[in-house]
Amino acid sequence: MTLIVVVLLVLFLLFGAPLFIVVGSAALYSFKFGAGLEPAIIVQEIYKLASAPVFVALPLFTFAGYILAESRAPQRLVNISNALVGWLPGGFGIVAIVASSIFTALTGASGVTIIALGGLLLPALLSAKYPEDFSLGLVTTAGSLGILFPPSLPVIIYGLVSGVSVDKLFVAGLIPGILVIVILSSYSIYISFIKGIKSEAVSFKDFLKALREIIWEAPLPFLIVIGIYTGLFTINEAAAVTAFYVFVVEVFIIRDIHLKKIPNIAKESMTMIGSIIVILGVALGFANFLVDQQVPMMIMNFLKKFFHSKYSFLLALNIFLLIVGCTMDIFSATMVVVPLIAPIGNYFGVDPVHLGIIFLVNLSIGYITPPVGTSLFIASFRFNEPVIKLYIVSIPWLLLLLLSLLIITYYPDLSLFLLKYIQVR
Amino acid sequence: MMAKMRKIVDDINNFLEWIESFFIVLFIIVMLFLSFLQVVLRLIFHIGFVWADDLLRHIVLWVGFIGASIATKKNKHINIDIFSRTLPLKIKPFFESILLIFSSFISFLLFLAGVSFTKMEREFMEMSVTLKLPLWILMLIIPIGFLSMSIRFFVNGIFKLWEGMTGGDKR
Repeated sequence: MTLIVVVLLVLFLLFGAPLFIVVGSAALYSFKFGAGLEPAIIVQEIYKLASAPVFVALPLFTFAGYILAESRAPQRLVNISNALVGWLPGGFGIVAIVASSIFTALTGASGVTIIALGGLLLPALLSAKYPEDFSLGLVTTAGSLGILFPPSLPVIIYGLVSGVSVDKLFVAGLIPGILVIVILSSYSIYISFIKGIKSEAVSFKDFLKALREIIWEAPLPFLIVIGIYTGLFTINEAAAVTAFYVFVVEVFIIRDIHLKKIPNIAKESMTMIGSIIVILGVALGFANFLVDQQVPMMIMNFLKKFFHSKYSFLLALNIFLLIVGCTMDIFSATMVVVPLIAPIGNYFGVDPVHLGIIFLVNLSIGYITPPVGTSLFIASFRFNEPVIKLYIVSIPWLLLLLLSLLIITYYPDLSLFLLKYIQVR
Repeated sequence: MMAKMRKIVDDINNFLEWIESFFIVLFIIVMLFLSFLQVVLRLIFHIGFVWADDLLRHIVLWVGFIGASIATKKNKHINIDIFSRTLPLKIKPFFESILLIFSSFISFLLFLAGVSFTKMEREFMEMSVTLKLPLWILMLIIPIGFLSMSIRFFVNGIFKLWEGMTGGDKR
C-alpha cells in the first residue's frame, strides 16, 4: 500500500503537481497511517513556522528584489561595474560576473538575473568582441552566482529549515562566494588573452556619471553586508531596512517605478512567497514525522555500510545534490532534502555551517547541469537559442564551478575560518 | 452553456483576486512601515512596540496564505515539471485536470486539519499576550487559505477537463 502511494506521488510530482500538494499528501498519509497522529499537527507545524526567527525577512527581501528587478537598477549596476573593473584584462567578462553575483544576491532568484541582466550583458559582451559561445555560457551561468552573499533568499531558507544561524551562514559563505567569482574571472581573463581582446578603460568623466546614476542604490549592499556582519542588524531588521529603502528610492526619489505599479509587484512577489510558505509548512510537518520514525537514522545505518570516512560521504553527497539541483529549484530542494541530510552530515562529522555552504553551492551548480537544469531553459527562452546549444556552451563554466565546489567541499576552513574572527549570533 | 458558466465563475474569481490583492497591498504597506519604524526606534531610542514583532509575523502568515491562494488561481505553484512537456497535446489537459482535482482533494483535507486545529485552539482560548487577541483568530487564515485553494484547484480542474473534451484552447 505505502509503496503504491509513494510511486503515485512521485509520478504526480514529475508530471507537474504542485510540490506542496505532493509533500502535503505524504504528510497526511504518514500521519494517518504511519504514526496514527492527528493531521491537525501538520497545521500546528505550519503555524509554528510563523515564529521562526527569520520568517519576516522572507517577504520583505522578496518585495525589495522584485522592485529592483522592475527598475532600471540592472543597467546602472552594469555601468558602474564596467567603470570599476572594466579596464582589467578580461574586463567585461568580469563585469558580467560581478554584476550578476550582486544582482542574484539582492533578488534571491536565479531566473530573474538571467532575464533582467542577461539581456543587457549578452549584447555588450558580443560587441566587446567576446566569442559568442563564451558569452552565452556566461549569461546562462549568471544565475548560479552570488547565491552565498547576503541577503540571498536561499541562504535564509536554508537557515529556516536546518536551524543553522543565518548570520553564521552569511559569514561562512563570503570567502567561498568570492572564490567562485575569482575562478570564473580568471577564465574570462584567459579567454581575453587568447582572443586578444583589449579592455577599454572608462574615462573618469564616465565613471563619475555611472557613479552619480547609482548613488542612491550604491549604499544598499554595503548597508546590508556591514549591518549583518557587525551584528548591528538582525536579518529581519536588514530586510526591513532594505525593503523600506528600496521602496522609497525607486518609487519616490529616482521614480523608476510608478506608484501604480506597486500593487502588481506586491501581488507577484507575495504569490511567490506564498507558494514557498505552504511548502515550508507541510515540509516541516512531514519532516517531523520522518524524524519521529527515525528515518534519518535508518538512512544513516544504510550509508554507514558504504561510506567509512567523511570524505567519501561528502563526494557521494556532492553527486546526489547535483542530481537534486538539476531537477528541483533551490527552494524546494532545501525544504525537502535538508531535514534528511542535516542529521546524516552531523554523523559523518561535517560542520553544520559548512554543510549549508556545500549544499547551496551544489544546488546553484545544479541550475546549469544538463539535461534539466532550470537556468538552461530560462536562457534558452530568453536568448532564443536551442537548449542543446546552451548545454554545450555552458560546459566550461560548469567544469569551473565544479572545481570551485571541490575546493569548497574538501577545504572546510575556507568556509569556517572567518567565523573565528567575526562573532555573530 | 459551459462557456457562459465559465464566464460567471471567472468574474467571481477575478473579483476575489481583487479583494485578495487589496489585502496584500495593505499588509505590505503596514509591514514596510512598521518593521522599518521598529528598527529606527531600536537603534536610536532603544525602545520598540512590544506587539510589533508578533503582529508582523502574523501578517506574513496572512500574506503568505493569500499569496498561495492567488498562486493557485494562476497555476503558479512551485512544481517539478519534467515529464509533462513530453505529453501529447491531446491528452495533456486530461492529465492536468486529474492533478488539479487531486490537488483540490488534498487541499480540502488540509482545510479539515486546519479546522480541527483552530477548533482545538479555540477550546484552550490561548491568547496572544502582546496582541491581546485569541490565537485561534490569528490562525484562521490557514483553514480559509486551504479552502480557497481547494475550490480554485477544483474549478481549474473542471475547466481543464472541459478544454480537453472540446479542444477549448481554440477560444
